[in-house]
Amino acid sequence: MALFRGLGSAIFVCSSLFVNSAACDQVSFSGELGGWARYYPDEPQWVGQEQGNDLELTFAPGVSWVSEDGLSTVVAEMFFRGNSSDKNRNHVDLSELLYTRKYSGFDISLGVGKVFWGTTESRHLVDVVNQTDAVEELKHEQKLGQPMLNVNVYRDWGALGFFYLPYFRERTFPAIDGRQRYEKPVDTDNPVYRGGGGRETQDFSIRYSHYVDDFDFALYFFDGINRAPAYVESGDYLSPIYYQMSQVGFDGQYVYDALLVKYEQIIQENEVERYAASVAGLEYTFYSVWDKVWDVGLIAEYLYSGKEFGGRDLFDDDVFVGVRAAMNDVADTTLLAGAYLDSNDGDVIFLAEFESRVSSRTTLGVKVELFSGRGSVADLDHDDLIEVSYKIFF
Amino acid sequence: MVDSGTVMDRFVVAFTQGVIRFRYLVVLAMIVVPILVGSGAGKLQFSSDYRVFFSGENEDLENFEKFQEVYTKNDNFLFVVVSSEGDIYTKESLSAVKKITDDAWQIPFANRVDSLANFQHSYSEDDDLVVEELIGSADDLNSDVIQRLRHVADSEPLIKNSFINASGTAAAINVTLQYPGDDLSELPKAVAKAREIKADIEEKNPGLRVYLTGFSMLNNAFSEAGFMDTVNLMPVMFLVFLLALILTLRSFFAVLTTVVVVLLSMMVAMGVGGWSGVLLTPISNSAPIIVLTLAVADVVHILFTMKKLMRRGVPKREALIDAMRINFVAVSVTSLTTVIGFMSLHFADSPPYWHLANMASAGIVTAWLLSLTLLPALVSFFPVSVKTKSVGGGGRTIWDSFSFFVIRNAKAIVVVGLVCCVALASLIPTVKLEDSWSDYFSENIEFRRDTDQATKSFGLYPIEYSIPAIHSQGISRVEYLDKLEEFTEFLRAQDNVAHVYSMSDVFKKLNKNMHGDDESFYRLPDSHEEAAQYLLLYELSLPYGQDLNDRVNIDKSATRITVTMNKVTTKQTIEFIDATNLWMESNLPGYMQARPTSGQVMFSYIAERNVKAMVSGTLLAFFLIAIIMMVVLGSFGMGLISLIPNCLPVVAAFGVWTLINGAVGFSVAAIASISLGIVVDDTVHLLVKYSKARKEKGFSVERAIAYALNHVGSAILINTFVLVAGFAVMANSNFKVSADMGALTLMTIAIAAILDFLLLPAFIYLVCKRKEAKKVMRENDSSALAKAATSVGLVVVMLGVLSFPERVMAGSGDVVVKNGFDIFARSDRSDRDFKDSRVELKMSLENSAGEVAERTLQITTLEVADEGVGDKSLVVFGTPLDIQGTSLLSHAKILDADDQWVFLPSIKRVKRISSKNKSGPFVGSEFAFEDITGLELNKYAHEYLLEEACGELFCDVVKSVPQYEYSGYSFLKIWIDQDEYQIRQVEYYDRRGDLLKTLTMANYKKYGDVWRPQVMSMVNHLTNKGTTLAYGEYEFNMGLSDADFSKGRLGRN
Repeated sequence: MALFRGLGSAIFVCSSLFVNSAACDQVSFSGELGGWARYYPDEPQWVGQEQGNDLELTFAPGVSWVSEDGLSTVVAEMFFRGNSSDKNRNHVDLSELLYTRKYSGFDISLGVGKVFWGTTESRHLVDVVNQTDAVEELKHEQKLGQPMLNVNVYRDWGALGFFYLPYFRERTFPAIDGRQRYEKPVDTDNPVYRGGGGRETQDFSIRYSHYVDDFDFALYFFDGINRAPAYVESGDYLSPIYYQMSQVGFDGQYVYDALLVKYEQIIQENEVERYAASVAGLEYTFYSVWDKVWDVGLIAEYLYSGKEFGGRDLFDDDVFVGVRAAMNDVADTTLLAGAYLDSNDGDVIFLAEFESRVSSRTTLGVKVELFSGRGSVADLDHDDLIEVSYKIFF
Repeated sequence: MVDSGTVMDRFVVAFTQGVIRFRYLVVLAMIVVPILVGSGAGKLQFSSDYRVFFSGENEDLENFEKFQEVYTKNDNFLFVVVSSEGDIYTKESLSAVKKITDDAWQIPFANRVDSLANFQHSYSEDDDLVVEELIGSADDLNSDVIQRLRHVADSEPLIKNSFINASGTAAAINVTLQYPGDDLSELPKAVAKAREIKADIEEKNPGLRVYLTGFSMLNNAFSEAGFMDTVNLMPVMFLVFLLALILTLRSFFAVLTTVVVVLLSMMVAMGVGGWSGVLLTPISNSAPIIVLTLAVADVVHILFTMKKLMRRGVPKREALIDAMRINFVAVSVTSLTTVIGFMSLHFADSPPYWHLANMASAGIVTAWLLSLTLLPALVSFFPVSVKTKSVGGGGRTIWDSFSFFVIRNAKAIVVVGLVCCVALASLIPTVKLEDSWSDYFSENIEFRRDTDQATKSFGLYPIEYSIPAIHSQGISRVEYLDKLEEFTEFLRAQDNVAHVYSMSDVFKKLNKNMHGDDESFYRLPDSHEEAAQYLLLYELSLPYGQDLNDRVNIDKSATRITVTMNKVTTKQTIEFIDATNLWMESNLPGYMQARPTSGQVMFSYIAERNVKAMVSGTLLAFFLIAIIMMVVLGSFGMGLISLIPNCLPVVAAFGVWTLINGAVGFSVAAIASISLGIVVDDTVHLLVKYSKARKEKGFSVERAIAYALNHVGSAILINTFVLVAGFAVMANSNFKVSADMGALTLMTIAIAAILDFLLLPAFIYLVCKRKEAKKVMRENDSSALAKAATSVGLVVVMLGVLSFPERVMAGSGDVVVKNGFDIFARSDRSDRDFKDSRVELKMSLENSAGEVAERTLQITTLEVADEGVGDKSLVVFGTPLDIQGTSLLSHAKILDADDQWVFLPSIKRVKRISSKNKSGPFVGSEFAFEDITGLELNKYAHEYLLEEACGELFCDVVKSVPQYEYSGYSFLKIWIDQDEYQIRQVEYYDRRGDLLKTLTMANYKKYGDVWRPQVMSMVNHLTNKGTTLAYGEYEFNMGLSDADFSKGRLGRN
């Protein structure tokens, strides 16, 4: 009950903000305005696709409130996106509206939030709580908000997190006119649910995380709808099928001097199959190379998936090699470049991301994605992308 | 775990006191509840269908079920009649065959009987097709008839090797049954009748032997083997177990208590099976033996500790409570790991393993619960007497001598141990994965004996194919029949094939009959029409119960081929199937492709399927157990070490098995995870004690090893003995799967005990000793440095005295030998005891051209009182806005790399980062991370240099050499003023010894008792870049705790 009162009062305080901003000095606003330019060098490959070279605007206003004693917080963030060529990219999302109350030794969160699990870089295999905004990018780091009640307990033998996730959100996909999609577009209007769940599902998860010396690890059990759908062809479209699943996941990282050893593993069971998937890798950082300030990290990861039904995993038997460079300059310039090599069909996905600060309020980013091969990435073969972004923060 | 020791200890003590206080209630509840749960055991029944070994998801089973829907069920009895005279073609023998054929109809649920006697023999008579039974009546059997019979049987491929063996010494009668499947008594009824027939024939014909086998007998054997195990093994098991307890515990009441706990645990295990409706198989039936064996361990450890304490003169009640306290963690963890080992059996493909997992786990959990409740309650009632030993020095125990031996020979033990294990492991690739399902049973079981005899004359292992034709009535098409014949011929040419039943032979025979029994027409009909007509004619002539429905499907679009194999192993079967599949692919048209099916096929793949399915299960168990070990021992390294004596035994045991047996079957899948869960127990007990001795008592490696062995060595020996005895009994099971499981687990446990006593301590000694040696060297270095520092300091002071005589005078002759460590310590300590602090600061980064960039951050620090451990700090960024909310959590360590995590708010990710490079630039500033979080006393070896004026003050200058291996600095020069003992300036020298940076601290402000600089500016002399930190107001003593600096909370601050 106290929880709801807290949330209520928080919303009240913030809504009355405009009336009396002096009483609300615990409230802060922030926001991010992004301009994006995309260029696809190749002609589209599939029927219905448009060239897609376009400009896009995103806007993410946020507000946060912290109670006097610092124990209660409310954060809220919206996400707006307007785009000219792919109708599925235009959307408004409540990406966060989360009330958190800290107690000694545990805390409770209620609302819409985002959670990240995992250790590896090339794929976030164990990360299952939030739905992905798949119109966004390859690595599935852009997420949709997930309604949740979350209790975390901190003990000296580790942390236990309980998640009750009472609503399911379907994945977003490029529309028929959009780039970087399968040969057939995904029919987002007609999702199929198998194994009991629907949008009003009652998913839950429990996660134990801890670290011993230089070894961090976490182990969880998740019971609910698989955020990643399987696909079946139906006419000119792919129908997304969302299976009810039980999943056990593990992620661990061991730090040995400048070497990070990373590992993620899931075992998933659903109506049609039980399979395991893993990502294992190394990251070694050379510190203070060139000019004595650059940090250069080399990443090598192996990705495996035994999934067989409803479309094989893009990363079923792949190797990722990459380089991360942090220049440690005033502009916090970073560069990440890497390639996924499919060991079965030799297909290659190349990815590079560059980001640097222009002024104290603005950043510039460049992203390049190249697809090459007639095997698992055949559908994306013509969808090489160069993207430039400019973000203003306030 | 050690940190929580006190909380956990208090809880266990309070809990045990409560148990003893309410002991009447506890005893009552803890006996009544298990009995209630255990009453479910009455519902347990043995399964009477081999299909229980296959899960509903098993494709092979699914195929087989479909096949049986089309044709007929494969449930059968096979009577084999053998004459002592050798020749079966005698009136007596053939009459017996006829009699069994007739009587077999009386077996309940029989719906078809096939034998030489009622074989539908066709021939032509006056251009008519005549179909009649080969033996019309036993009375007609004269030598002419018998002669004719022999001729027909010899020339008829459908009879030869099927109803009569090739040498004519044995006859077979096959009875097919259709069980309604309504209750479990159907099978025993049918078996009883079949046995009656067998006994009757043998009694009336002393010259004949009748062997009874077939799938119904197989099904029956499963329940009989389980029953015999219960009857034969359980009493032996109990005897062994009682003997072991009496010998080791030597106390009537202690034995009684153990027996009660163990019996109740067994009852619960069986009860859980009963309530959940499990159908017992010989595999799940081994649950009580396993529980009996494992439940002993908890009790023995607790009782042993108690008696040990009492021998030292501790009163019983206190000894009991203390024994519970000491053993609580180990007993809980060992139960947990054992349950994990069993639970991973759920990954297997065979339901009996799942049942075993649930029942054994229920029993183990119950044993754990009862050990914590019923055990102390019961013990508090009973008198326990021990001879009190004088406490004194005690003298050397046998374990002391043993640990001395191990330590002295550590290297040899490790080398020999590892070499042996590697040698055994290298044998494993030669092991064959093969089974033969009739050999699942020991020769004590009638089914096995009869089947062995029957298979001398006949094949027993059917492999079925349903070969589809192109459409309805398609089986009479010429191409189909040609190909079918080709296939039949191919099959007959294969090794180990006893008999092939194919419709192509029927068509050939009909063609011959329709052409006046002309042998030259013993070939396939020439046209589709002919073939169809012959078939129709033949069908019309067949009597009831002998129709073709078990050979041809209803719309005549597929026929069945039955290949009967001689006694083959699963491996031979798979080879046959692979060869056949290959042949079919390249020789049969697409529409005729078919997959083999049958019980034999299913059993052939079951081992492989289970092994495959269990790989992930075993890995998962391995993983969980490794992690539990790490958490319990509180050390990554010790966790890894613990895996050595846990994994090697499994590998070594398989090696030994390969050596003595050479083949593994169905059972192999389960062993790794079960035994891993069990053998880990000894390691837990040993390592928990060892860690305790090292951490809490501060013992040396050698003493800690002896301490651990002294405390748990005997208990581990007893447990190993009980476990080995228990699994040895199981190894005598009448069911090979259980017996193999028992034997392999036994070997694993025995090897594990050897490794735990020899290899583990030797390994710990070698690893930890080396670490210790390294540390000691470092300490020696620093003490040498300190000595050097003092002497250098002395010289400097002397020089100082000479060059600044006034100042010495001003100090009123108080010549103190200054020590760098003391000076720094005084400075450091004057600012300590602030509990926690928070401050906002502005960081201004200026480049050589004078351009300035700013960032704001908040630093929260939690003081850790122990100077041997660094403070905890949290840095949260406010600006630039794109990194707003980015946080860095650091648990500083003195001589090792810090534990550091970074929180990235945009994707809510918490990342552990390598902090090896403590001296690298922090967010593009001239500060390294270690420069901001402060200079901690023990991170450096300090050396007094001189004193000199610094601004308006006089400062002591200290040279501080970083002790951290990867520090970016060779040394620091630190100016500490003599009034307030605050650091005024620091010079950082890079690894080459050149001046790199200078830090100036200014605007000191006093908060209560502690000083803080409000401005810190760093200048980099190489780049001419500078960074200034302007601090806001500090807040102190806010009541923060470790939880606020825990990794889990990162991002929630």
